[in-house]
Amino acid sequence: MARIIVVTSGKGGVGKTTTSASFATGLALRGYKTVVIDFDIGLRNLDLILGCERRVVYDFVNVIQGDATLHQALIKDKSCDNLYVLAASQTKDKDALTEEGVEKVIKELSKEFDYIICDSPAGIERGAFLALYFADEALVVTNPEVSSVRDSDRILGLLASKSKRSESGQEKIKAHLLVTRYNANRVESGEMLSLQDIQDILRLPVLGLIPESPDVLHASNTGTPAISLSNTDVSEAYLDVIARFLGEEKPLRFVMPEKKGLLRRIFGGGR
Amino acid sequence: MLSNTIKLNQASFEYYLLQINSQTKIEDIKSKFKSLKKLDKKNNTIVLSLNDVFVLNDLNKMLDSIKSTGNEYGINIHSILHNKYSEQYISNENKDYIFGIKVLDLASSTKLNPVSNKTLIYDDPVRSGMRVENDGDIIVTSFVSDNAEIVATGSIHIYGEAKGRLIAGSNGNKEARIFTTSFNAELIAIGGIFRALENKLLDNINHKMVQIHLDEKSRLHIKPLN
Repeated sequence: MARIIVVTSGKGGVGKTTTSASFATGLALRGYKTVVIDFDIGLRNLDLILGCERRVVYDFVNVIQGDATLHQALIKDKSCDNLYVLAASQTKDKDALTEEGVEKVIKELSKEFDYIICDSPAGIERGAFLALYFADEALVVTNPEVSSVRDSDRILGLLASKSKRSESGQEKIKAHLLVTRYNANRVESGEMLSLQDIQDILRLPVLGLIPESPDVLHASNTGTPAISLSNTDVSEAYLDVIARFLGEEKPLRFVMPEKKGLLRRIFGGGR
Repeated sequence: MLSNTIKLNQASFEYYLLQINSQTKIEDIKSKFKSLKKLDKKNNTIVLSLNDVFVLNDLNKMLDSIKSTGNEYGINIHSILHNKYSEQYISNENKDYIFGIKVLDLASSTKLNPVSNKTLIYDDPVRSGMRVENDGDIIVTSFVSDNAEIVATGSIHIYGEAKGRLIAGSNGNKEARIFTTSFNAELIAIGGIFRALENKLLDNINHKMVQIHLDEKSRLHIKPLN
């Protein structure tokens, strides 16, 4: 049986899709057979981030509506053998998703894969609801600012009350906190919420902390998941996330501001 | 002695009506209490009716002896029904309290809730946008986030950080109270009287253990608990 993980946040633009792509790639690199599903019907992005947009022939909605088989719609990642993508439809809207249809697809994928990553759209409408409904675990992506934290709190409420697990009285969805776009310097100067502030509100175990970095934008634009950029803070942080998710002990990095050396202070760093 | 049941707020309240007239002697009361004890019912609540009392000389003496007799037999005197004369002549002590229970006017007691409805115990965090409702008391053993709502017809108890909107006595019950171990709510309300807490709270209540209740003039009081 596959483990179903939803990547969600409530608020848009916090890094759900970036995280989904990197998280799925990371698990696949560790040898787990992983599929990542884009639930953002009508605003499909995941295929761009993973650099497979030209290979989308059939999508998630085609499978639900019976126009294509699952195997026709699954796209194998170009660099990683264990990773498959199920893209969203760009022409339909979110009403094309049905609970029965999504359940059928997830059940079929469960037979073959170790992990199913559901990339949730922003908001709390149908797409987001169906992305989290079947989940076993949740990655709650939050930026260090108040509106994002509040929306995450709302999503955590939905995870606890509106999911299949809660409705059938099973063990609760295990939720992890992932803080993205964290800038330790700006936290220190009081412009951003600190990790402690976020934890005071959400009270969730922290799975990881991704520093703010221009590398993420570069990765998205070139269709490479951020975890695959070598020797960057972001990829290191995502690799830590995967390690912690798989039960390894890793200290949290990038929480405190970097101490600049003398030369860097004089000539300025790259960032 | 008549046994009666009245329905208040969907909860039934069973009591025995003990009618006293000018000829009643304390011996009669004793024997009645004895027989009530023999029935061995869990419910030994009594409502005294003074409707037929017109000779008033020793009314207070009588009530005092009923009190002490009741004490002996473990019988709880819930309230006293008055007529115009008894109301006028009853001593202040007896008027307000019988065995520490405030005298209720039964005609208006439907608003009050002598028998609490089922209490809801909520063990999970109450997150933003969630609403926990109950006809009765609510006990939250976790924390309450901003923009969450707790709505109870009875009292609210929160054993964790209490943010959000706390609405007690939502059916108009002004006796309801709110208790929190770490107070930081956005809005509090009891029996329809509400206050939005938009300014920073005073240090003696901010994140402190507090109790919130209404006074007789329907003003909300937030008091630190030690």
